[in-house]
Amino acid sequence: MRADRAALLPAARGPARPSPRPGRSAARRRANRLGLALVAPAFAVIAVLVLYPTISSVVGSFQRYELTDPNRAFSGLRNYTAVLSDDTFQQALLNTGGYFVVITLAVLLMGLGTALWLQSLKGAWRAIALTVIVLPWSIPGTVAGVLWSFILNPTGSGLLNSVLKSVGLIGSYQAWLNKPIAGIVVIGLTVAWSAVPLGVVVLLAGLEGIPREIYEQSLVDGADRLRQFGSITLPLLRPALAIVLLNGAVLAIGLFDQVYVLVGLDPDKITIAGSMYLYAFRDFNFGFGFAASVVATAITAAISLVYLRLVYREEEY
Amino acid sequence: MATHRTGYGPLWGTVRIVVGILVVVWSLAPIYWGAVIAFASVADIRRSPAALLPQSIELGNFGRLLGPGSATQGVFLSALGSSVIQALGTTVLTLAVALPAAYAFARLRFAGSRLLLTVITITLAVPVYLVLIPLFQLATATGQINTQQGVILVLTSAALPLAIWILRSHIVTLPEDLEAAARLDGAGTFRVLGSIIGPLVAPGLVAAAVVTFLASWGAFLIPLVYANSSGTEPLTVLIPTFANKFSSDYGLQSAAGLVAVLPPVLLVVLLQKYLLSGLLKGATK
Repeated sequence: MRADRAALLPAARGPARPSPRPGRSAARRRANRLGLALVAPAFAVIAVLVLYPTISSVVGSFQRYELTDPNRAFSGLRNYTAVLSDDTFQQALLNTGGYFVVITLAVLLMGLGTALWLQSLKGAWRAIALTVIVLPWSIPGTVAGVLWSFILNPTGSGLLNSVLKSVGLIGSYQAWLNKPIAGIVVIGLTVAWSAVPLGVVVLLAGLEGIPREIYEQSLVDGADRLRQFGSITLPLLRPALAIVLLNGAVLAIGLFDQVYVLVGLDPDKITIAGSMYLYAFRDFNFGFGFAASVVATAITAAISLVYLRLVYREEEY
Repeated sequence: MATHRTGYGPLWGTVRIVVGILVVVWSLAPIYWGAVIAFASVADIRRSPAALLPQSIELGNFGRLLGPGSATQGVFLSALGSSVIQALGTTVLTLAVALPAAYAFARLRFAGSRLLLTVITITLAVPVYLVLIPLFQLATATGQINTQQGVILVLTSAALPLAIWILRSHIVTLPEDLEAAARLDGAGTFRVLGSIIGPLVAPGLVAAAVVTFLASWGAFLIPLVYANSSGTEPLTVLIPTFANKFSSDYGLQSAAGLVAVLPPVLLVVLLQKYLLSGLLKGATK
């Protein structure tokens, strides 16, 4: 990749090299102009609305910057040390870890179970089942939050409470969302409801991509289903699993809408993205907001690198 | 497929049915329960313990939400309009900008193409919360806060990298011979784009459109920051405020939620095939 870029850059920037065939270099210039013209609108949007704000956030995280005082002075790591030692941020970090574990486990187990089940269906049945399974993904996060709030309603008119009590699993109606740890688990599961569909689609594609001959050969060799699953399915599914894990991490760290609807900006439940929103749009301390968002992005990037390393190192043998 | 199933024991048939029931109940329960409440009478909504099957089917909640003289009619219809404008506007703008770029990345070799594609691929990973504050400042400075076009631009920037990716991976798989033939007949690149590539790339275009529409229809953090006034707030921003203002009126909340759920559900049911290919291309980026 890097070699490619090095080879491309001088050609893009340096003066045109004399060419033995002038017609070809004119054609190349035409191709360059056309290509750049077609890409220009997209790149302009991305440069102004994604690249510039990204750089601005990183620069801003090293500046003292509040709405009341627009004088942006360089402040070194002060935003970071302040945010990292802030109770709200530490709690948000802890909550995010909780969501991360719940969402990852739920998406992995439910996604894999559902994908294996789907693989046993054929034709129209599979299409119908896929439609049902993908539906939750299409529902806006805030509306999903509202729908789940009816199920988790703390009184007896909540679906979960009345079902659990009628089968005798709970003695009295529970306010699920107010509990410190159970609340995180329950909210994490509502997020998994929206996130499992993507996991199922990716894992199903991964399963379908495994050549059938490998299974047939291993049957001839006397392997049973469990052995097959452990020694063929799981190893060959590793890239798909990495994608699912990565999506879980991205989701947990950036989680905002479902938490906002179910419990508001409750410091005991918000994620790092939620703490960023509090710093920036409640306290109007943009410097803190920048630092929180950069930390969240850095954690996401670090987790991605760990997953990618795990996938590619294991694939080598 | 059938061959490698033979390793399963006799239990498999039962397991398959049980898993199937669990999958369907888990996927549909919140939607089902929301619909039951939306069509129930106020007394039945308050029933404790709740009855699993609908006890009444009436339109009272929708009347309180949308009927003449209702307190929420004006804001709700305005938010519905904003949702439609923002989601459709974002979809059209995103596709219009993404298609030429995707074609160039798939077919043309030009100076810097690899570098630009790498940059755009990297921006796929930029989370919304990282760009939120600078974009808020930019929108305030240019007077684009609380305008439909301002939100559409920000939503477009969020959707664009994925749309380019989906379209590019579709165009790469199309046969190049057709283009060459059209070119020999004297068609220019824009003719090639419009009359040859366009129809062929339609499935990819639909996939990118569905994914973009659903993402902008469901967007929350972006409109919460850039479109939170009564004229521009979409349903995703309005509906959570019902939970505070009408906290005990579950009927009203569920009726509103059901309206917001209708377009995505219709899209998934009607365009499932395209949606799945789009999802897959997006996930395996």
